[in-house]
Amino acid sequence: MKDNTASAGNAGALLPTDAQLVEQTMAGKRQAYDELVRRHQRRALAVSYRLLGNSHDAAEVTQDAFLKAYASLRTLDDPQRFGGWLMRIVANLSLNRRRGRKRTTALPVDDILGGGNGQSAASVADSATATGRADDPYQQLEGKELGRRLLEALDQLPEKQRMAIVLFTINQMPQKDIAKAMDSSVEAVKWHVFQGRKKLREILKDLITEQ
Amino acid sequence: MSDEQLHFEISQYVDGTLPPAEAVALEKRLQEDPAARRLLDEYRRIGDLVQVALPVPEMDWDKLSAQISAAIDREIVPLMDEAGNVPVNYRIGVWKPLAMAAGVLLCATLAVVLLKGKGETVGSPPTPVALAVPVPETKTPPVALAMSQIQVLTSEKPSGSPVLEVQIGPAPDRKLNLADLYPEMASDYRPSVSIAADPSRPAMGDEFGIIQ
Repeated sequence: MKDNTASAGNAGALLPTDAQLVEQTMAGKRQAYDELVRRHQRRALAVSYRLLGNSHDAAEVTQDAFLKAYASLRTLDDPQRFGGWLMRIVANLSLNRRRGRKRTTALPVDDILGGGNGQSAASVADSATATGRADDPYQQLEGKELGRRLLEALDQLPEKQRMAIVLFTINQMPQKDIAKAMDSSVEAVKWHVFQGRKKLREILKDLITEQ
Repeated sequence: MSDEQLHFEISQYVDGTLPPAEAVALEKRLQEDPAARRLLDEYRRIGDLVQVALPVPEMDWDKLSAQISAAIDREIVPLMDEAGNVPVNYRIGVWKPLAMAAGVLLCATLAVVLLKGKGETVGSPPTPVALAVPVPETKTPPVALAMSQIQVLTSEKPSGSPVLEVQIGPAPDRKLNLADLYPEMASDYRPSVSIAADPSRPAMGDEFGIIQ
């Protein structure tokens, strides 16, 4: 199975940048957008999954986000920032989904999930891959149980704190982009990160002191 | 400095977002305060944990990208015009104007009902059709209207061509033509609708008036 995680615009001299792919897409080259999908789908799904804690919903939101991004491509001010823009769409659609809003597209995802359908945060960790390095000591020591605990802890955070933690601490989006996505200020994002981190510290106290 | 302020500064320090001058002061405090150092260590540990240990579901990535591509070809491409534009209701951020349009429709429907209720003869009342709403290009926030928010100021029958004006705020700002929203509405019931508003700041208690 391929893992298409080429970073935006830094994948080598022969690969087009995100900006070039966006421009090619707008010029009518459909395959250029397919490359953007391959390039960003894993990160998009990771963001959605961490916000939703459910792989089935995360896959649907990911697909929805790419459709909406394609339809809205002409509204993207800076094509080089496609990745961050897409993540904002993913984050917003994920939150909408979490709030129970009806989704706008219905695409089959059942057969693309590797570990069963509609997996919860607790169950998916058994069939999931951690995003960290394979030789990371945390992974080796804690593995799946650690992932499950973290997902459950994230799920206990209020919406804004979870979004801030996921997008900033985990996905390392710039705070100004997160502020746009959350329709708030950078200062508010800092505060939500802080509050989320405080709660995670309480929830994961035993892990923090064990390590 | 309160504990909460100190903890907030430590959180920002971990993230590298604490202003330099405050970072220098905090570093001095950290040298002298074991509890603060412990908290810094725990916050860093949380960051390390969530960055390396959170799982991502296994996917058939090739299949996922192929499905997305097929969906675009099936659902979006056929709707594009020659310039590559897509109907706005397929774009992001359109729920807001959609909500606004829905609010306008609600007002218009209410007005039509009231006009009819007055016994005025302005034509056969239409049956609202399934909506095919051309959403106006706007970035205004939603005007999410509940019936309880709508206050009809008057339901006088307009003379001539019926005009319905829905007023939210003080200044006329934009117009929507209900004929577009209700294409099959009988001609006598095709009012044009003005939203006289500061559309960016609709508020509870805003009044909606039917004004001749």
